[in-house]
Amino acid sequence: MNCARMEKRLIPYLDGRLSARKRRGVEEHLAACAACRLRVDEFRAVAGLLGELPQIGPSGAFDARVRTRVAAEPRQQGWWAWLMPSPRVAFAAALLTVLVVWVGSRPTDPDNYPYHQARADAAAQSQDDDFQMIKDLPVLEDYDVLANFEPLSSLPQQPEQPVAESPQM
Amino acid sequence: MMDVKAGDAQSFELLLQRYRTPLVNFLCRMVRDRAQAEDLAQEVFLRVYRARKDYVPSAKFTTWLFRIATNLALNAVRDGRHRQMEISIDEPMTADAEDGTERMLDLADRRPDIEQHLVEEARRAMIRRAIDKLPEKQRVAVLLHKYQELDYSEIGKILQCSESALKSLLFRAYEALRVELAPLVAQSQGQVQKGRVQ
Repeated sequence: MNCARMEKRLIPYLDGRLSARKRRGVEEHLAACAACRLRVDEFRAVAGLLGELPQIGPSGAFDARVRTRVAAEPRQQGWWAWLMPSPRVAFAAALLTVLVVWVGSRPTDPDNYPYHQARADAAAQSQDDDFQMIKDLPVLEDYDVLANFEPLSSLPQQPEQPVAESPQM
Repeated sequence: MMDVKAGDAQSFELLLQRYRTPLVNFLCRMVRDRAQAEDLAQEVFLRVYRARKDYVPSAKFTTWLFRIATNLALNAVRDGRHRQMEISIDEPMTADAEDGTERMLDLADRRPDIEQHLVEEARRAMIRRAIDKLPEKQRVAVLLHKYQELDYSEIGKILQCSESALKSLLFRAYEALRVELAPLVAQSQGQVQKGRVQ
């Protein structure tokens, strides 16, 4: 044992936490080394001085403050809590849904209501015209066929018949 | 702590009763301000409460508790939030560790005269200053070793160093204190010598 090795053994020696073998080694060194012996005595004195400081306790309000802060902590919930919306979120979602339905069901510009009515009337009129055209479609097709019927154009032109004069009254 | 983890509020109350005084004492010596030490101790308990569901008993509860406290204290010291005031943190007020009630000790019962009281106060102030002068890590090691009586492995885990390194750290801390408190040490040695002679 030398003085350098005492660095790691001196505190455990003073605490009484060395094994019997190591303690004997330290004691043999101390018997031969006056400097380490003095150091051991002075370390003991330091430990005694540190023990003179009184313990500092918490103030009377300490417990109450801790309890208040703990009570203010949010409660921990299970995984299913994620599925359960909080009342505020549920209320906000319901309100938003009502608002969207209401806005969607009303005219976008109440000041231009006649304009929208006119557009609706025009659309209805257009539908009627389309219906009439579809109804008359066979006649129109016949006309088209006759107008473009080529054999008719190759027929000799007949002189115009004089229009019989109507008897004079 | 396992009961606290299981949701037993009564067990948290027991932890509070048992560890509030050691925690406040430790934090007071670290940040040198009683009000801040109490705030930090509250924060420690709050963190314990928040972490109760995730607590795994891989180490002693005290190791975990003082590791939280040490981290908070070192952050507070490094942030410079502590006040550099010479306040009397060792005022004659003490808390009964058993029931937590505070009481003022009767000065007349403890100290026969005012002169003796002043001498004792001067000694304590000197000891406090010597502790305050220690580097942060050495101070933590001495406080946990001397006042909390934690074993080397626990302190090593708190300071994240090996047992061997911790023993060297403590040696250097006591060496620094021996130098700083030389007059008081010599006084104590003189009394010891006188006692041996008599």
